[in-house]
Amino acid sequence: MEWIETTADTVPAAIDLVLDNLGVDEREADIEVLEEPKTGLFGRVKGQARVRARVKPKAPRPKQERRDRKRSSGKKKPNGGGGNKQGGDSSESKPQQRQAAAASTPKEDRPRREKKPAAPDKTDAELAGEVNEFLTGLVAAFGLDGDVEVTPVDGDLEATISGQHGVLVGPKGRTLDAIQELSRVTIQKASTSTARVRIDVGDYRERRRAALVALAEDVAGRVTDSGTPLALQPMTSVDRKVVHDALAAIEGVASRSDGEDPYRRIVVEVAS
Amino acid sequence: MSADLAPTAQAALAHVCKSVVADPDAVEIAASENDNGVRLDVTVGDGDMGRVIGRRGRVASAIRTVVGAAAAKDGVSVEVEFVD
Repeated sequence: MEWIETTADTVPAAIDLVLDNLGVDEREADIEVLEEPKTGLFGRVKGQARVRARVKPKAPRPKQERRDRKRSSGKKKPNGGGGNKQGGDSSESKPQQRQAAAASTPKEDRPRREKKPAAPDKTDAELAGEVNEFLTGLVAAFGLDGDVEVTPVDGDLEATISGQHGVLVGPKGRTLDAIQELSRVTIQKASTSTARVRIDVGDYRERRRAALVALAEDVAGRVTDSGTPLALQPMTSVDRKVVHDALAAIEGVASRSDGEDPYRRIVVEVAS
Repeated sequence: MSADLAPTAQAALAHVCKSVVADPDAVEIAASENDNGVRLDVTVGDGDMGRVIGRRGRVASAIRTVVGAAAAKDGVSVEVEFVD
């Protein structure tokens, strides 16, 4: 199983991100902190946290557990049904959990990532087909009419469901986010791919994006006028990124995120 | 199973669960009525429970969100339980 490397502002954020990419729990992953963020004067972040992780190679299930599943007439499941393609290489599976101390070790001692990630076992087109099948089936299950289109873009997948189906979007796009999450799980179960999936229904994302940018501009104006920091409502990481990016383009204001998901929110203040 | 209870929610739940697990044929849904609406009990094959629940229950909560949206079409509220 190849390692996936991510960077984020903080170590916990980077770990969250990398686990999201793997789609597994902390306990099922080997996590290594490669680099802690360097903080500059007044806590301004100068460097990013670098973290890498992989799904822990699974040892074969204990016999006791395997006996049970023979009730389905000993139907053979690939790789113990786990869907993870690696074998039982247990010698490697020692929990090297969160080597947070890695930051204090000299750089030379840190694991260097020499080898490139193994080629994904499925082509983008195959993955796109699987996402398409999942979404088409879902739209049908909802009893809706909508054409599904999935396009690979730079190793990720972009999907569009045609029509203005509010039921698939939900309040603040929550249903859509859930569908997106499930699409990702769908392809990860059968592939080592870590492709992200982005789904839009009608032009919802674009409209949401425009609304968030307008919000960012409005808040930036108010903060500049009053000089007082303002906290926004909690948003998903995707929405926060849109707002952060929009604010970064506006002079005179700075933004940061505060709190823990799902209540993590942006605070806008006058740039120092 | 009573297919007449919240048919849209059941269809969505079945489709989503089958898409997420390694053994789609083992997915079963039992529907029952209670005071709050319809309750859908999902059973999955051995070893697939982790997949439908996911890290910190993320997949389970995504499934509940989607099925809840589907249930709106049925005009009922739906409770999804994953049964071990």
